[in-house]
Amino acid sequence: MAEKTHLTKKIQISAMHDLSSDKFSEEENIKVFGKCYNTHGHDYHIEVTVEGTIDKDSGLICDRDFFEDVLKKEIIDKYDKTHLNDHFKSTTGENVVAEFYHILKEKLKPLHLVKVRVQETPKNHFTYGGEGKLFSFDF
Amino acid sequence: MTYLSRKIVFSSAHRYYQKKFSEEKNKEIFGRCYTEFGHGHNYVLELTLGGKIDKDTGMVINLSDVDHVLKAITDPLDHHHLNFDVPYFKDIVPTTENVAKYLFDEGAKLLPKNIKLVRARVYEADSLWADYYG
Repeated sequence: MAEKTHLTKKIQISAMHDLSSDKFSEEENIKVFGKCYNTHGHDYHIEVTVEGTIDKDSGLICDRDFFEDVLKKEIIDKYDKTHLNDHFKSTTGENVVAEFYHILKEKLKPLHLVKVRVQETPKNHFTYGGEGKLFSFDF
Repeated sequence: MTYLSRKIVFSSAHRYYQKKFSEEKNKEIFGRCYTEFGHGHNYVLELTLGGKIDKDTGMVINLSDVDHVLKAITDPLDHHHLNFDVPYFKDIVPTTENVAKYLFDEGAKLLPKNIKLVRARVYEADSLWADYYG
């Protein structure tokens, strides 16, 4: 079996969002989402992990510039200093991490994306690695 | 199995440069990591170990023993230029990935048999790190 190696790059975006559902009345939304119903902002720390095997000549598992350029072009340039609700139907941490995962899974090809971890505040983070179960150390 | 992780900091210089490649190919493969002389980092190594909790001590392994291993394997790198001062990296490019692999293999040699080395994580910066799982 090939030796497993991961490379993780952490980026940051500052964005605002608010939580609500069009299935609920305003009163219900306030009851369910509390203060998150109000428009507010976060510094999102986003960790993106790719997997590969170390090339014996270059010592790399992937093209580092390509990896970083995709993160800048597809995440930072598109979502930094924006209102996330303009982009996604739901902006809960769970949905934001899944949205970023699906975008990057496509755009990072041929790199193998393992997981995305989004820290919404220093007190909470969300991890998504697709439908499969994550390797236990990946949370 | 219980897992524990311990860190150590070491400061080294490295250069992304493969002698086998032409200058142009080095620039193409290493991109923005390519520099004429190299550059330095405050690397952080974190080893994650797995084992059973000893019923008498309550520990998987004494952390001072882990510190001893961490120091022994990073001392040859600390305050050195990896490409020139560390024989292992004479022909192997000291990328973050390869530094993690090297430290994993060196750490595995020194750890007691009943301890499983699960992962070597090397932070090149707060925003970039490699994990090697063997």
